[in-house]
Amino acid sequence: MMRTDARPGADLTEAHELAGALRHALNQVLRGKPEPVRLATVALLSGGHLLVDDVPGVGKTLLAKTIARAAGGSFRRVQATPDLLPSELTGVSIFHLAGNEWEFRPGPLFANVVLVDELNRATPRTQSALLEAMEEHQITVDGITRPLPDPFFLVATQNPFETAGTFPLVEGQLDRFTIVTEIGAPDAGTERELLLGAGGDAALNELEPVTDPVQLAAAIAAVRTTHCAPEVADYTVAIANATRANGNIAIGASPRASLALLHAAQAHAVLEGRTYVVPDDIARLAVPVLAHRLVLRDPGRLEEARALMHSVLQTVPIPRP
Amino acid sequence: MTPGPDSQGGFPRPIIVPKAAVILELIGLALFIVARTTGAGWDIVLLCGIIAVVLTGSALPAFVLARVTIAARGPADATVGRPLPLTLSVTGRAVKIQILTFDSDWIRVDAPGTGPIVVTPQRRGVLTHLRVEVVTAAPLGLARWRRRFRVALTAPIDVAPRREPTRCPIVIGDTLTPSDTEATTNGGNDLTRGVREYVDGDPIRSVHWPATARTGTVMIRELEGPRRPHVVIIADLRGPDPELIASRAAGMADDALRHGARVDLATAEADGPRFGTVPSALHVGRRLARAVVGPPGSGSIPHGATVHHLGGVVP
Amino acid sequence: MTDPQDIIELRIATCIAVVAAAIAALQEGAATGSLWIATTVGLPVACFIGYRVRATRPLPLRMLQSIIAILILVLFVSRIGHVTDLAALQIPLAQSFLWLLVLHALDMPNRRGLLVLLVASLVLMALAGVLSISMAIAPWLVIWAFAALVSLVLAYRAELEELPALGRAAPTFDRSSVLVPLGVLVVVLAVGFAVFMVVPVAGTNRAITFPAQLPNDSPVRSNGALVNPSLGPSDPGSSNGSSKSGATSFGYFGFSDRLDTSLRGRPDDTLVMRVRASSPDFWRGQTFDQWDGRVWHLSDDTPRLVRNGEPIGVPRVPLDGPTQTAVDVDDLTQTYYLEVNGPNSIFAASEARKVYFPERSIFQNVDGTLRAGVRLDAGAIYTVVSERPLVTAATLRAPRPDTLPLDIATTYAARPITTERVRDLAHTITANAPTTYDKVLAIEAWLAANTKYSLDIPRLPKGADAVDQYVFVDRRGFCEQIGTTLVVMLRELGIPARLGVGYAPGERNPFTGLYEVKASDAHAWAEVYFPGIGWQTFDPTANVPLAGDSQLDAAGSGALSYLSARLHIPTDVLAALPILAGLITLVLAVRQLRRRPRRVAISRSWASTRLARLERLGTRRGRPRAPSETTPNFVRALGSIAHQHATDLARAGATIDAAMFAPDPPTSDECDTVDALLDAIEAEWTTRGHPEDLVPSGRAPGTRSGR
Repeated sequence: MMRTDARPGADLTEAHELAGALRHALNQVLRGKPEPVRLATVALLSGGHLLVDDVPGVGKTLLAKTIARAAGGSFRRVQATPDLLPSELTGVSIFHLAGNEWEFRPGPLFANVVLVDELNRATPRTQSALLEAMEEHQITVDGITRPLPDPFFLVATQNPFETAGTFPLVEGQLDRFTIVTEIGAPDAGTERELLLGAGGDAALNELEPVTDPVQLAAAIAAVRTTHCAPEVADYTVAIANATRANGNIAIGASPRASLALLHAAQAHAVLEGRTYVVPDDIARLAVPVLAHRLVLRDPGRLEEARALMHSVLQTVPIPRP
Repeated sequence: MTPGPDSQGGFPRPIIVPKAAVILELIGLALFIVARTTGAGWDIVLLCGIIAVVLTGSALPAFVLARVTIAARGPADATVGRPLPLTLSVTGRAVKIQILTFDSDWIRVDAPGTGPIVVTPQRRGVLTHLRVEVVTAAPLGLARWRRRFRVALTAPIDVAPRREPTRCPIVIGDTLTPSDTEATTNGGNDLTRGVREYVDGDPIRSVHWPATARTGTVMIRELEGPRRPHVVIIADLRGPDPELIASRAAGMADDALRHGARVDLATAEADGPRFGTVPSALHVGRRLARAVVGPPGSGSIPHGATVHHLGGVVP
Repeated sequence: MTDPQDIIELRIATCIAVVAAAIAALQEGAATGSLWIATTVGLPVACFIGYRVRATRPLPLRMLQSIIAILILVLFVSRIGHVTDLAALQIPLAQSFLWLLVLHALDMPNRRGLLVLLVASLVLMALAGVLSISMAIAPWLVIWAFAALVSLVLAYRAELEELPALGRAAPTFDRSSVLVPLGVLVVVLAVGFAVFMVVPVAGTNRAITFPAQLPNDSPVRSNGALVNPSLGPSDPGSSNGSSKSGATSFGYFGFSDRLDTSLRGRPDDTLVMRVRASSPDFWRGQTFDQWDGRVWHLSDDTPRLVRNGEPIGVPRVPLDGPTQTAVDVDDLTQTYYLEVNGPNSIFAASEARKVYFPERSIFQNVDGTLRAGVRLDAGAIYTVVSERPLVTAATLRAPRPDTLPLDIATTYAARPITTERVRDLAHTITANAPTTYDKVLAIEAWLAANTKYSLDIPRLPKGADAVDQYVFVDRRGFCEQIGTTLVVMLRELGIPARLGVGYAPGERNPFTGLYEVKASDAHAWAEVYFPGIGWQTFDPTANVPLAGDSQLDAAGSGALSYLSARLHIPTDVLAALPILAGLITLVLAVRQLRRRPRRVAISRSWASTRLARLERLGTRRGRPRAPSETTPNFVRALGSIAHQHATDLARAGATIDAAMFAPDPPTSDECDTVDALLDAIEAEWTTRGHPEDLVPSGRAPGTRSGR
């Protein structure tokens, strides 16, 4: 099975096949939702994290579970509540009487795929601890830094309409999520299929892992080698600049946001079977990657940021030679 | 001349001179005799033309073949005796190709392009290369040349054995044992267990107290299916008919999986013995595709598992 | 998958090839009126009907075919009943063959049938080649060759088409179906020319019978006296002096009973006849024996009738030389095709032994030369088989014991009429020459060194001796002066010699293999008698090798100079062309073998122009591209307008994007695909770009306003 030749294209081909398998698996379970599935796959392959922002009952948790199952590796799930403590996420050191030493008991973040349900119900303190782990890919407890597993993919869900007893995430924290997506209610046909037993949990139970952490980590590394022409990079910068210049936007996309967009575009290119990024990758991901990072002059829902981002995109011409 | 680092194209070789060329040559000979006996200059001109056409028509296919490059890919898995759709990308025009590895039907290539070609594998194993023969007499159809390629697949194809329908008797363990739960919690990637370890944020009313009491950790109920039976199949290909053993092992593992069992498969692979769980029929096929004659791998056989030993050296 | 018999282009190309070959054969003489119509009209019509009924093949048609086939056979058999010799069989055979071809064209069930037709056309072409004596066949040959190549290419594609296609299936007939054969044709021409330069010449005519015919059914007869229609009825030479010139005809004054060397004339370049022969020689009309200082005469102009079977065997006459030569002899067959009305001399290389002549009898002069008893007009054909002693310089120098026959000595070696200083000169020049051959060479060498060849010489003054005037006064002259001088000097030395008149071999047309003899090739030369061998021709002005020295050349030798003279292109340039073509082919071949699929170097500008084309197409269809719109989005929108191209458009968009942003640009083949697609869409949208197409509406197609 091991290939002796190491072509740059070979890794990307494998990454493409893996991405396709992942997307296929997700589509099997999450019927009739190609766009959220695409974005979830992109988020996973770009080495970032995913925030699912939607009302309950549309399959947020199912999506996260499916990703975990299809990706193989370890999976942990955290139910965020106001009384959830940071140490309950990261783990604690306890004194072991028998061995007469401190023993670290890892928390639920030490898994390849972590699902945090109802993230906005955790306290800001807990949210910060979580988001720091997301950014650093490591956790420091009692002065000892411990790396998180590789790959480390965090899927969080939140309900945008639930306000009572929640602590909405601030922009700086939202920035840690590569992609924010909604799922949306299924159409009538799909819902009927769901009721009749196609997709959903039944499909999840039948799902077999399509990969394992080692392959997935290799694929994520390979995605970063995707070729990006200077013109495409310029186009990305132009989009970021357009958000900064827009009168309705208080704070535009940061350089980190541009970088995240580029990485997501690379993952999208691989998913489409290309070894290079085209402007279409950027344009298709600009809204889900950038919208949640914008700070509007009149703070509002994510919906408005999305619409604004969309109109900004219309003003940036596609690069041509 | 080689299209890629993996694909090797041999040199074009002439194979047959078709009837048309023979007829032309005969006519040329007749013309020569006629011209020599009648002194007809135009027939000499015609003869020169025919010689030139035969020469050109005989040489040109070599140049047509020299331009051909082939790339091939296929699905990761295939089964002996079942149609296997391969995708070939061929640059070249007016040639016909055949996959020698599978003795496939001839298929023509009009223009550079990619397309499917369906073959039927006859042998189990891991397929890394295709032998492809390209034949052309283009453009004049006067002489046929062939060129053979060894085309590396972009990814190897595991050709699973033909399924020999075999029933797999299963002894079903009916109680949860500590070792079962051990497997559950450490397996990690398996969500469909009856109970799982508590994670932060779980509602307190989901705690499965009896399991908590037994294991000493807080366990949470998940309202899903019953325990799966466990089957271990040892496929030892060292017998007189390795292919039959592989086929039987595949059939048996399929049967066990159909009945919802967890299946562990012990085989020998090129780089040593192998023992591991096969989650699906696909994985059964892959494992058995890679299996070679040799001592099968061993592993810890859990309590309550049904063990089937296939093949092996008959004492 | 197309059934190959459905490929109409293959049928058309084959039909063109057959018609071209048939016309070539017809115009070379295999024609009757009905056959002309049958081929030029019947063949295409038959091909068309054959195409239309290919699936059904109705029974009545097949029965009709059988009946006609039997009719043709019966006709053929009835016609060969009257034919006695094999040559005459050619024409009915060719005619029946053509009729059968027309019949076969009705019924071409498959590709093999078409190829059989193609082979038949090749046979027809070969027949035309045998019959042809001119260049008229050349354009038909070119048309035939190209159509046949197209046929071959299409037939091979049709053969492949029986297999399923991988990926995109190309149409059987497209631009490449013409371009590929064109390229092949160029290569074939270059290779063919090279082959032409090495294959031996067509060779000697060794057929059982040879062509002989007269253009008119009732020929004008004569009693064997010399008749030359272009010289007038009587005494042509002296009647009106220098104004007499042999314009536009055989009107060389040598073909007469006297040859006045004081006359001056310059014949033009009219083609007088074509001669098919395997090696060049002098085509001799007659010889002169009596010299009076100014004019040559025939001492005895009483030809004898020869009627000696068929072909006419020519008896040896005493003045002709020994009955048995001391050296080997070979036969030289010459077929003469007269292009203008000529004298009744039967031309022949010396010495004629057999004559294939349309009449049963001919006349023979005392010197052995031949005359016809009828007028020989343009279109007359006859064949002469001559026996030539194979002499070389060595055999001519070799001492021979044979004595001079008395007849020859008295007729040809008598002391000539000339001046004393000419006699002295003859002895002086040849003082050191031991043999007859060396003496001839010495005189020739002296003439070459001391006189000039010129057609522009002053008139011979009254009373002057022609030889004396040439050698001592003018020191310029042409063949008559030179030949006469040689003869007079040799006679002075006691060597038998006479003046032969006729034609130099002319230029060999390398394509037809025939010598093209022009009026200006009219010639006079010296013939010298060698005991034991016979008469041998000597001429310092025309370069004809001795029979024993001549050898077979390559067929193509002379082709370059022949073409360069007619196309007015220097030989060097012409010779460079095939060499250049060969070199280019070689370079291309090597590059082809070494290179991998071609990469487009400047792919970005390529992509830019293609995208611009797409944008123009979009604008034309009311769907312009917004500056911020990505290529995939835009082509998807176009695809929703042109559903049938949606997939191809998506692929084209991807290729364009790849050309702009991929690290390695797309292959030229992918680019070609995009271009082809753009062409197709553009053509489609220009031809039926109705506004209605823009909006998918529920209107019935019939309501669309016709243009």
